[in-house]
Amino acid sequence: MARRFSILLIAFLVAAAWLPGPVDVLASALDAPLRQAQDDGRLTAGDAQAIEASIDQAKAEGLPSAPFTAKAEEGLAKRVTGRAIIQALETMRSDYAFARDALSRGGRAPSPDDVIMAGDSLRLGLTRQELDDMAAFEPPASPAELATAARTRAALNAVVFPARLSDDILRRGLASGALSAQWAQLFRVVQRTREAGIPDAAVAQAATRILADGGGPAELLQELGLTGRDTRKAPGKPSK
Amino acid sequence: MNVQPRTDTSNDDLASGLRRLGAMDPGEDFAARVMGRIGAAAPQAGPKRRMARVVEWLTEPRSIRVSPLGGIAAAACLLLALGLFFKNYGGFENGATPAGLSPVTFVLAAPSAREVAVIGSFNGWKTAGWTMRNDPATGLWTLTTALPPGSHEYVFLVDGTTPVTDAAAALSVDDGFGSRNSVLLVKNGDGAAL
Repeated sequence: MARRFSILLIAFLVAAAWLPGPVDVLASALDAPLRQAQDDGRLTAGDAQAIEASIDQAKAEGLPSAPFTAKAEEGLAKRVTGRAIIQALETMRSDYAFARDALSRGGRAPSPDDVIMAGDSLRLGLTRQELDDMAAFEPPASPAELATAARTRAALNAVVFPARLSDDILRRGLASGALSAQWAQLFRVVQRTREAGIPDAAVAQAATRILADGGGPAELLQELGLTGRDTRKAPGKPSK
Repeated sequence: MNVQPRTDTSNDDLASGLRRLGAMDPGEDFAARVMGRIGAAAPQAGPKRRMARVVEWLTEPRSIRVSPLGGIAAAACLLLALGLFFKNYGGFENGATPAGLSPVTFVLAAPSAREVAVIGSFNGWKTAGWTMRNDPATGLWTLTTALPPGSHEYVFLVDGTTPVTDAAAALSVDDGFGSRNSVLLVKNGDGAAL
């Protein structure tokens, strides 16, 4: 009896460990909501097939498939039409392909995360021309730095930061190699400085200086006379 | 019950009685009558009796024999189940923040809503486990959770059908469906100064 119990448990564990392996987890995650949407009459069988085909095509083109599955899930959760989901996936595929090509310039090999960050930046407000221009900077930056630059620029565009000033900051950042991921939050500094009445041009000047010295946004805040603190830590306690 | 010592007289009486029995005719339905009496006298296994047996079974200490392999397998099953539970139900209240995650509180003012959930890139746009708690006095819906560092897109799903962007979000982005998603930037330790 005990032996049979053990065998059953082990079989269960083996099955649980095996399932996520060979089965495409992302595709299977979409199966249930697609079926539910069809049962509810919100999606035709043709739309469901077209959605799956669009995701398969992105995968076949070597693009990271997780964001496509997530976008389809988002559309289903928001109860938009099947046509709208297919259109969104097509736009996304085009953006990601463009981003991948821009980041690959000069034989560089962007990671899937780099492609996702740069591709999503196009949806956030970055233009293709701006991404192309940054990819052409000399000396060439790494794909990770380019992706960060794309994200930073997109967020600055979203808060209507002057394009010329953004150019100056990002050119300096890419040239110095100091454009760390934290700089993607530069738009937050801009929002804070605007609340404090500090002109955008002053922020740009300070940012280029800090980037030339290899600093980050925290130093920029101090340079501008603003300070920030992680409220989860005691005052004066440094971050680890 | 009275127990009397057996004597020669009582033995004789018993032998005599037994001899008389041999001459008696019990009748053809003797067996049926005996069984009928036995059936009527037997205690009925009613619901109360069965319940008592269940309680007794549950409360009585027992020894369970499990092989070491079976014990390890059972423990692994338990861990797997716990892992799946915490993976699928990320929302938590008043708990310690897991390592590498930052505490986040979502707030929406929607006094007339019947139900509000947060859906976003961090939970696969699914409402399960992400329903917000309502304070009827203020009309505020809140949910406290922990998210990994990075950029997350989200909306509030009101009454299961209506997506609503977060007016308090620092950024919003085109969702590709003709509407917008709110953007939440969760900072890591290095970016905490912002």
